[in-house]
Amino acid sequence: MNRKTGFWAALVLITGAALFLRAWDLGNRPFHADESVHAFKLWDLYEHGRYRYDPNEFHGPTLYYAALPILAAQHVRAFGDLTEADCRGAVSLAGALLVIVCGLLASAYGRRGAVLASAVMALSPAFVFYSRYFIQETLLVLFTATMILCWWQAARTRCTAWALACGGAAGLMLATKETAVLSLGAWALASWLFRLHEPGALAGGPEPGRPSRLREALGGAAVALAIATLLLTGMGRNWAAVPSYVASFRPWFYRAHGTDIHSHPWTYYVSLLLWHRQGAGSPIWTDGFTLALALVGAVVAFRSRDAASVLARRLAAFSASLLVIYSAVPYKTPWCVLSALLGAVVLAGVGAAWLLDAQRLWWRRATAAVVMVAGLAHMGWLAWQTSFRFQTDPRNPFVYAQTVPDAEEFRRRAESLAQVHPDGYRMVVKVFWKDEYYWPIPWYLRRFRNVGYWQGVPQDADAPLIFASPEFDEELTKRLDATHLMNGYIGLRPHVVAQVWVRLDLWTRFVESQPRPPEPP
Amino acid sequence: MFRNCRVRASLLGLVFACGSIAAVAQDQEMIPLPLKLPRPVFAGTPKDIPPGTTVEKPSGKPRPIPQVPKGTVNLALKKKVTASKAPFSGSLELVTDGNKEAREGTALELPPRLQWVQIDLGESCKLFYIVFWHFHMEPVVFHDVVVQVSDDPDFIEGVTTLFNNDQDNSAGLGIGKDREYFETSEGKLVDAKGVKARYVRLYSRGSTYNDPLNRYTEVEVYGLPGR
Repeated sequence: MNRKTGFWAALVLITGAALFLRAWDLGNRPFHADESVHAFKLWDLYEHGRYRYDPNEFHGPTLYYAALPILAAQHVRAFGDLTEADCRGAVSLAGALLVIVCGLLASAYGRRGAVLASAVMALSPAFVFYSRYFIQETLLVLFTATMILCWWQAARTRCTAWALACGGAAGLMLATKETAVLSLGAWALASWLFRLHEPGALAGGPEPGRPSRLREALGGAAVALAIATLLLTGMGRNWAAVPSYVASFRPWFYRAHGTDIHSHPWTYYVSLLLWHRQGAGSPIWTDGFTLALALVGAVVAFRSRDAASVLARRLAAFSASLLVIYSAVPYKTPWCVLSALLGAVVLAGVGAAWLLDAQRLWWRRATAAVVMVAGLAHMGWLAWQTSFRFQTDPRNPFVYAQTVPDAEEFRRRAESLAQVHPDGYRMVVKVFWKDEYYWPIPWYLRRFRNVGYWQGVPQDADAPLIFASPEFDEELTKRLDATHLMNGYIGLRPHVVAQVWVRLDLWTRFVESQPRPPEPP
Repeated sequence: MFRNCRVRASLLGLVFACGSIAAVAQDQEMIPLPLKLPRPVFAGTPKDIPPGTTVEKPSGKPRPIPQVPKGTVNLALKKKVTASKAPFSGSLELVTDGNKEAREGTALELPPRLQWVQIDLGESCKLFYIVFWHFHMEPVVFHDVVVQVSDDPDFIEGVTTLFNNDQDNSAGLGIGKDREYFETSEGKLVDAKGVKARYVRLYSRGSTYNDPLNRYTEVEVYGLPGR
């Protein structure tokens, strides 16, 4: 086996391992509220071919378009049959593709760097965890990495096709999430910072017979805008999405000030990456190994004078500036750290390869190899803990406002009562919540046809089954005590529960349908 | 003449009626329930709701003291207690010994699963309130709490259920509509609504505590001694 074949074999093996970590048992965590909202939007697109951009929430449509082939392949016929795993499948595939793109990015530094960068990406606890999450972040990072890879290829080969592909990836970024502008801005800043230092062929003018760089840039921008517009408008069906997208930065700007529940201190992302431990019995979460290798990679890049160092320098500046931007914004969610971590992962491959290659003495090289293997093994172990043991545990720093496993009880309770209700799944179910954060209850009630949601208790509160915020306990007791019983609590998120109110006649029917209770003592 | 007679008779009737009302009012002179609470051993209210319960949110305020007719006393004090099973630890006398403090050795412990304690008041009495403390060292929640009264010691005939939070009828005593509650030093106050009975029986099926035992620190039955 020659080196090239070995490289591709290693990349395939690593990607296979990455796919296993990302796609195995995808339903092992209940839907986060955001995931459940996306599932509804996905179904609307799948069933009716409808997508309508909302400037206030939910971001762009690439997540839904990416998930369509899996739904089609699974022949999902009804919304009630859709599962968490069906939705998350596309994201896990994107996470595995990201491993390949990372490897190709680091290949500028040789095959060893590429393989190591792929391994770091494959085993990164944060990337594994959010590749099992039906939100846009992993797609955004995949498109960002693809854009950078295409830029690198365009700069290296001066091939117009790569420039257009770079634009295409940028368009996909924009159509994925509004924060793409931060990534594009950080990349522009990194490019501007290091443009004067581009050595060799990269700094030269256009080669004879090749299109100019301006034409390539304009072509790329046109492709970016075309793709973003096509997707955001739902394939040209809703042109109002274009001004809406521009207007969306206004609400997001206000939200960025941390006026809602997502406000965190500036140290949030740094502590998330460096050291996090909460409570006994939980592991220490750290990306210290990746960051240490990335630091070595950055030093190597800044000391090197070869053409490929431009890419590494820009990646270092890109990651650092994104980390600063996201840390400066009060609005923080843990998945946003992925974009900043992307550059660190590629640089970690560069750093790891240098540590192995630069050692002349065999025992030093062996020590470096042992450290690499131990570091990667620890990452793999931590990735497993993050996604398969602590996947709903609030001690896990990547678990954020996570729906508790008890939430499955919404479905079980409603379905068991529907079994004895004459209307079955047409039974009226009412949800009274103190605010708009009742998601993902609709996901668990998706098989029911007559479900209503209110913020507060409506005039006509009566229904066979009611799920309500405990804040309404006193009011519902006053209004429903004669006809209903408060049948218990169901957990939604940590410290957030719902009360279950069941009409007495329905409850009596249900109890009577159960196996006969034992005689009293 | 005839009309004057009717007026006089009406006036006499009115005077008689007023006299009767005054006499009844004197008989029914109301006083605050003579209940002395034990010392609380934990402060505040629990933050998290135990899973699988129907527990009501603690009000955070002292419970209002109900009014009862003058002469109301704790009829259960030092009265005979029986139970569904032999005690796991402690003696049956602890249930009516008057010591309701949350301390080691003040509570009767019955084995796991559905169990009951029964108090013989000695005679059929008019009952107003029943107050009981299962175990108030921690804010635990007891399950399938049912309070019944009867003149039948076997609780087969003439049974009145005063409280029942066994919603799934797992105790086989009927579907209960009442809510579960956190054990506190205030105990659980159940309105007996003036029912007449000689025997009081309390069921339970373990709690959210770290063992499945049934505990009874004290049961007080407030009513008028039978005459």
